[in-house]
Amino acid sequence: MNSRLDWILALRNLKRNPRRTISTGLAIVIAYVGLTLLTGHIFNIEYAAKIPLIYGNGTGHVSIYKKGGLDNYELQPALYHMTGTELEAIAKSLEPIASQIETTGTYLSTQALLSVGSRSIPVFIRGVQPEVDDFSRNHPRVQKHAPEFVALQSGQSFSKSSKETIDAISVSQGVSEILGYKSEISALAAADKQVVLAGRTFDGDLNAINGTVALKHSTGTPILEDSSVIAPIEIVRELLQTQGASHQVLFLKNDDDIGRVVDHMRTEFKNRGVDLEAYPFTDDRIGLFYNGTMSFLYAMGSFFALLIFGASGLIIVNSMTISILERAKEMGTLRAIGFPPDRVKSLFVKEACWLALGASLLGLLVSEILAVIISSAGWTVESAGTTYSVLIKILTKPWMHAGLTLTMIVIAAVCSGWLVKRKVKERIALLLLE
Amino acid sequence: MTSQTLVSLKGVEKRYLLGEVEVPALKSIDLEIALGEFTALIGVSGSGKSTLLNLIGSIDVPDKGKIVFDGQDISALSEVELSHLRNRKIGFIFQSFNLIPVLTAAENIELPLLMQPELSPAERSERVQTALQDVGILDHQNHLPDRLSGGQRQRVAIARALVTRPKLILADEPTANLDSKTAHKIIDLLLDLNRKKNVTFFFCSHDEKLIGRVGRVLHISDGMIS
Repeated sequence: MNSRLDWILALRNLKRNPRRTISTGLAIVIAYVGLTLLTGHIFNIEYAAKIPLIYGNGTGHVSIYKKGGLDNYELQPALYHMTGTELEAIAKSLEPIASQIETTGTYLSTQALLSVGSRSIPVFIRGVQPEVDDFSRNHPRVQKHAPEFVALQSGQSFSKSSKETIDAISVSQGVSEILGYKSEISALAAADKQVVLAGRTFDGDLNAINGTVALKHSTGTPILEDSSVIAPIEIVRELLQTQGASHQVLFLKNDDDIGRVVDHMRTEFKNRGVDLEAYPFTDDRIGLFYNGTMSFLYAMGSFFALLIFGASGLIIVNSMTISILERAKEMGTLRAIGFPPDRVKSLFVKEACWLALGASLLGLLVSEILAVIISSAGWTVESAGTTYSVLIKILTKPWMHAGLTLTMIVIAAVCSGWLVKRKVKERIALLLLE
Repeated sequence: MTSQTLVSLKGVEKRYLLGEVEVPALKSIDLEIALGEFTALIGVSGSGKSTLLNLIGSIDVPDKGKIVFDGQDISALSEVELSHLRNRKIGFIFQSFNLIPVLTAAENIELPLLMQPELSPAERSERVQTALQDVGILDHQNHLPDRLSGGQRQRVAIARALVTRPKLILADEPTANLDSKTAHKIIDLLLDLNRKKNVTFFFCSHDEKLIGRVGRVLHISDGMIS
């Protein structure tokens, strides 16, 4: 098919009624910009919920528990904790996918009682290797995507603290408030920082150890904020009288590898005959708040996207209906000189494609400018699933623009094709009379 | 049908609905058009000449009767086959030119050739240049229609009809929108093309003054040829 002239004709036809072309194009631009800002904001909220979960709450991208441990460890830690042999099996299983792993962390978590003076509160302690805690708190992705979360952390890292204080622990914002800490940790009197952690060992005995509040952190998640304590894993091991771990987490270099890594680990565990299980952070039992937040946002986003697509689609249909009615004689002429109905239809579809492409490119430019302005304005928004106000940023991505442009082109093409389809099949003699 | 017959109509009838009233536009038309013939169909407005032209050009369908074009019964053809027939064998010249306003004269002429994929761009260009030359508007090939006079526009329309080298060119009142001097020039051009290229012409007009200039004249009145 000689379609070059078709495309030229379609492009030039846009100049026939500039006012209508501009109004239809503007509808597409507005829809494009609206969808870009909406999607970009959802991405931002997704990062604000995801990054603190993965790095701040120690879930990593993938968590590994003893089979059944995710559900039962807290009730029966002695039965469901991981032993040194199992940790070795994990290390060996990771060897083939080492290039995808940024780092790993071994955790030992438990419920305990934290006491300062005469005040005691139940807490959930997460024992972590100090270097992994440093890695999580200072990871570039955390700095980039969750600066508000970083701003809530205070005090030195465990690595630095442990040089001065061997029993350094970190309390969450919520615990800090419950304990009545009015100022920053560094400004507290030494006596106020001294705490006692009491818990039940794996043997069922009660045990208590001393600790020093050296750091403050935020979980970023409402449900954990009032009970979270982080401590070096050796302190928690001492409290629980064990050398085991509750779980191990994997921090990946690329989020897209999660599914593949989980599958690999499950296969490895099966082949090695170890009773371990791998979970992505999106598992409801791990990332319930993240999943809930994102499900809500996706549902809202889809609803608004549908509204925007519907409105822009109706404007395109309306504008093109008039255009098609006005050009019935042209359709008749083309049919008379030998263009089959489908070829005539394709001319109008191409015209719609040009319009959608041009308007989308303009929309891309406008939305990128608006994204920069909005992202640098410093506005914040309260977001479900996070304990802090999230800085409004519009995160745009090349694939998002490509997808939107393609969608706009498809909507315009489908609308025009649908409208022309019946008209072009009318009797040519009648078309020529119009 | 003789070996020279290009189009044959037998018992062709066409009726239109005017509101709820059925109006006969053509009544049992029998007609033959020979290859290379220049035929003028003369009749007043509403006599049925455009309807007849549309039926011969397969841009409308008869209610009754049979139309055979170049040996093919066109009622048996599908929409795509009819498009192919119109593109390869029939050229149309319309009263109001029907040029695409956003295409230049040359591009308008090239338009029907787009449906002939066997032609290379160079061949298409060559054909367009020949057609432009034949109708004498080579110098205006890059002009948009609104930059051309009525006569020049009709020449572009004639070139568009000629460029596919059709067997029959149908012209529906091709001079109606032109002044008398230009109208005669266009008729001269059509007659010249008929002689030189042996193209069959069938054109309808209400202008009795043109009768003396063409080889065969048919009169149509109330849907019947006399």
